[in-house]
Amino acid sequence: MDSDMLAGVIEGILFGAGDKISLSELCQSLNKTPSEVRFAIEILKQDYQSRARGIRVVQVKDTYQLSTKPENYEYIKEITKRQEKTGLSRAALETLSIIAYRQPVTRIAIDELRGVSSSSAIQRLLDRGLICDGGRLEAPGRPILYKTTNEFLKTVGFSSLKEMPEYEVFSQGRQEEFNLEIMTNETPKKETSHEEMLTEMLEKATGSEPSAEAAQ
Amino acid sequence: MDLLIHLIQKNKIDICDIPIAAITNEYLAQIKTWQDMDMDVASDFIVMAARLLEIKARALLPQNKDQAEDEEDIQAKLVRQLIEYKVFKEISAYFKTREEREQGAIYRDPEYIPTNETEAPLEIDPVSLELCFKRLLFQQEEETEDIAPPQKIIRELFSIEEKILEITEALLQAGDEGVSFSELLHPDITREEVVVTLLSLLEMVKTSGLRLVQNRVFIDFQIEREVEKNG
Repeated sequence: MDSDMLAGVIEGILFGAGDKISLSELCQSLNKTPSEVRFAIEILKQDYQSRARGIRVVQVKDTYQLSTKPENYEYIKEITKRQEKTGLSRAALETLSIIAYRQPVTRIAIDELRGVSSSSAIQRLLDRGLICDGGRLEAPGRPILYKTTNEFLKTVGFSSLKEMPEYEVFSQGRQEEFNLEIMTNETPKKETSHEEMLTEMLEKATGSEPSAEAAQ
Repeated sequence: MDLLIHLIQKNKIDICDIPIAAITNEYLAQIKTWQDMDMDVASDFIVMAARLLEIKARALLPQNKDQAEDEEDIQAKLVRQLIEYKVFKEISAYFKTREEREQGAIYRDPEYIPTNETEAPLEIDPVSLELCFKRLLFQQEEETEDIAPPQKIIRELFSIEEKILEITEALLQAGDEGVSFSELLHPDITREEVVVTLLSLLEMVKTSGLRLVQNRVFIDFQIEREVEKNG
């Protein structure tokens, strides 16, 4: 099975399952190495970048799932008549930002930063599965430390925490660049053939990335 | 904090050089209008109001040099907090744009696909059920016979702290594979020590990345150190 075919098979699996599928599940059922599967998924992602495609691969950590492209939502919602989801409140968003950049963090630390009580915001974030209990601080009362979940990554569209812009970007007021990036990052870059992509990936792989193979 | 930022922006004040007196008045005025509406909302702002008042009061009173430095500190701390808070406001605005964007993504519901693999039903026949029940009854009788009312109270022989050290040691010696629960118990162990061992394990799972693996209920389980994964 060549990489293009593998990409097709994986697309089928993701579509058929609907649910998110992990890298290790794919490797196991296809009897392929993580790098082979990763490469095939890159092919898939690349193909999806075309404006002629309405699907994208959503990656959170090492799990993959298909979804429609957000930029087409305007047109899709017309036909699905989907109920608009309500976003997070301002208080919840502030609390979430603090947890995302300061994790693991206690409620007291969040309260102090915001100058008001955050317990109800924390409860809402817990209910929505965006944050979770990340252990206890070894201090009087052993307060709970909060950290963000994979659901958080999915909600704000990051594939890992490393993808978040650094804190300094905001403290130095450079966030405009990043707001722009959200709007443009899914437009097709230059057309690259799969062979070029492979060499590019190989170069990257030899540079660093011990990642999944080591973890397997 | 949010209100303070709002007032500062409204009056176009430099964040590092807040005229505390003026801002305090405005802050208090704002709270007053809210207080009429909702005590709960307003109470959130009272701590901040108190801080502002403290800074203002200190500025009004005559003071010696030490106190002057003290006052600088309080104000500097407030400014630092304000700046930090403002950064997080920016971050939450950024998250909001991203969140709104991601809300436009539609996922399929996981497909329900009937599989051939069905869970094998437990094979239970009336006879073995009866046997099992009798055995339980018998065990219970035996146990109740064993327990005589305590004659004297025995000092606690095993502490969780000690046990944790012991388990940590055992884990270190075992390496990557970990140890099984039964390996932690020696043949002439008392019930109390078993309980303490279990409690220690639970404590360790909670505090220090330990993992318990059990393939089936009611069998021995394996204790492993959690390997921290990055990313």
